[in-house]
Amino acid sequence: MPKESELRFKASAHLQRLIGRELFRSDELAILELVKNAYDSGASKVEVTIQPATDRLPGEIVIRDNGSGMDLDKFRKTFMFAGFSSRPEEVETATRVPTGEKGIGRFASDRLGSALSVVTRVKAASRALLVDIDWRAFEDRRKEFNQITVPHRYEKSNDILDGGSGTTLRISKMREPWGRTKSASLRRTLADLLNPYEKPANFSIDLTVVGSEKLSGTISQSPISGPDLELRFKVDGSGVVSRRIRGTEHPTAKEGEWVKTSRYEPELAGITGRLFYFYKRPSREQSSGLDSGVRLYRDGFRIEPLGSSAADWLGIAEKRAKRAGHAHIVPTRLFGFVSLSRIRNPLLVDTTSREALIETSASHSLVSLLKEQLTALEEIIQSAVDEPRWEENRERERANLEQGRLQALSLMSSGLAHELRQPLQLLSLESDNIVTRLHQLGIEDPEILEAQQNIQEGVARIEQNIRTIASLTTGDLEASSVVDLSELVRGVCSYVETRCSAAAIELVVEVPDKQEAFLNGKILQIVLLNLLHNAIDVLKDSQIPQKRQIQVRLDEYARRHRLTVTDNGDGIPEEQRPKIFTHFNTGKTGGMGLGLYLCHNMLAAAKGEISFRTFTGSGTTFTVVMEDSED
Amino acid sequence: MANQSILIVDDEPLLLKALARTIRLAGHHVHTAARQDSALELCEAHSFDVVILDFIMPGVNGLELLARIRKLQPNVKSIVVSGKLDPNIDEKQITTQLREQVEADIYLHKPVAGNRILDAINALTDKESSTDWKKLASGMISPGKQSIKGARQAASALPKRKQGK
Repeated sequence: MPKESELRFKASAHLQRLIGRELFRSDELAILELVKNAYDSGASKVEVTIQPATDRLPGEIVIRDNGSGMDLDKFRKTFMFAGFSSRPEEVETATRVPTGEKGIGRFASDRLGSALSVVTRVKAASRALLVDIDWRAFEDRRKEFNQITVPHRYEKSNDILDGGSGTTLRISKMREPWGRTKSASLRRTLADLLNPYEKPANFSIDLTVVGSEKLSGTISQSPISGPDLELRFKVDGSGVVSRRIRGTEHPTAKEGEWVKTSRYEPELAGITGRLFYFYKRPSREQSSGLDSGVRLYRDGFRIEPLGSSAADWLGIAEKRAKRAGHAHIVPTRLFGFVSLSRIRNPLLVDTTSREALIETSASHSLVSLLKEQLTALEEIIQSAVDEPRWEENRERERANLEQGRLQALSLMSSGLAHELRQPLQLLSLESDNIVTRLHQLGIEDPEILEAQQNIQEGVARIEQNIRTIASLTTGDLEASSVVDLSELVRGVCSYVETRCSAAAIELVVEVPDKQEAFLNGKILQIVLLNLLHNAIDVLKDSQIPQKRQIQVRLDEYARRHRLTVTDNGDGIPEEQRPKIFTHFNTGKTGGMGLGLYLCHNMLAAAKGEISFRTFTGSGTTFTVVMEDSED
Repeated sequence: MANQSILIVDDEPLLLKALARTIRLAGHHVHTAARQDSALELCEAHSFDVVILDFIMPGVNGLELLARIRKLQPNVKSIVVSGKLDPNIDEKQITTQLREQVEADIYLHKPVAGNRILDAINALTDKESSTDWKKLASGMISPGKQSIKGARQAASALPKRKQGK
């Protein structure tokens, strides 16, 4: 018995209320504490059952585990001893590092409901210990903490998980109704309790929400899948940090190796972590349904709420806000899993409310360690994000230049046509004049006549080409008109004849004498010209044994006009096939990769279609179909 | 029909020479002018059966020049050539338009073969000509009424190739 002369602290019964009901931020956190207690008792399995209140049944929450259970002596020494928890080295399940060092988790049940009934049985005991606690008894402020008594009894009970040893907590007289939203939130919190990369061995959590199959079932912790970047780091026994960065896309991070980077205080020894980053917002599958953020785990259990969306404990969101878009880490694309240990990092302690780390020099060191890793990640992201953008800008610039050149060509073409026609007219007239004059002088020579005819043919060919160029570069691109497609095709083919013969390509043109259509002939001209040039480019570099040939065919079916261009080259390489009509795709050197992309878009605008069939080693056929737009 | 008196107006000296040679070799009398004022001077001094002129010359509207020439020589026939109109527009269509508007007789796209020019001359001067142009020529309206202003309007109304400015 205490002596009268000694001063002692006494605690009001109300203290229970402070540490139980008012300390924890949320009901979910309170349940987490009870789950952690089960883990500490050596359980391999915890079952959490939520019974929402119905018309017939009052609501209750039951947490069952198959841990070691408690006899009356242990119950008295631990459960009934506020603030008591075993020191790590004293824990009987030596393989586990206890998570609940605060010794207050049981009081957290008061937050959930005012009545707690405990059924606990140790191994080999025939009867279970039953204790009923009415937390309302602690509401009397005048009473002392230790004046409150709770009744206990022994019973044969079936209310223990798996029928062996273990503890069942039954919480009733609920303080809050448990609706779907709250249960779903609990499920998320539980799923996020364990580190998916360092799961505590032999421990699983089952959640049953009565009335909701969707929310019921074993809680799984899945790792992140398919991130664009992965940064791993570890602190060795002397505080030296090594880091490895790997990325699926980025060349400098592709084959990342472990590199020693910096040194920290030894109290961070053994800390490891992974940071994952997605260049685009990850899908639910990729994020395994987890919220983004950098989480901290101690011995496999999460320290809430570090890493939740509300906690910007590493200042990522703040940095982004300050730099207004110049910061490269987007918080919603970052996932982190940092592990520390209660034994190796005893100076890193979370607050009693489990809301944060207690501020110590060690916790400050941890934050700077993590910020350093984030900076490293940011550098990689920056270079990865900037490079394609630079490449894209260059391509856009090239496209603009090309566009400018086209425009200049179009502006010049009318003048150009005139400038070319004048000398053509001259050649034509003078060649006639020579023959006429020779005839007048009495000279008739078949060679001279043939030469003159050749000149006239050449003039006619040039004139045809000028018409093709002029009609391509000027006029309305949106207008449909009556077009003789046969003539159009012949005109364009004549235009590439010189190129073909220079490259030893036979150009076979099979068109009807006349095929009239009401459509946008200009687009068809441009598309055909592109296809012919592509075919020539393909053939002129190819090493095929047979004679190089391009076939152009035109026919008509059901008011649709079909134009095909076939080459007998090597075919389109398989990897290029899917993106053949996309922007800046080119297999050629010196090409813009714009041709087919523009053809595809122009045809789409004119309700036409373009498709291709290609066979490796035997060539490619492009088919263009345009509908007669006259109805 | 040979031995006609022809005036050719074109701003391109080489072409002017070539065209003149073609027509001269065919037996016609040819005068050439590279500019509007010299063309008008020639018209004051000589009488022509046919005038051949370029539709669009730098600083000169061919149709306007034609109207001025007609004031001096109301009965002259005309052949208008150009390399600047859209060659896809039918020559006859342009001819009809020009005939209605400025009483030009025949329009030809450049480049035009020598024999086509000669055929056109024949068609305009020889009623016995069997060429395609006879119909066009015989459908002529009597000359002399249109104004220079009308020629200007007609020129601007014609389907011109889009200019690069």
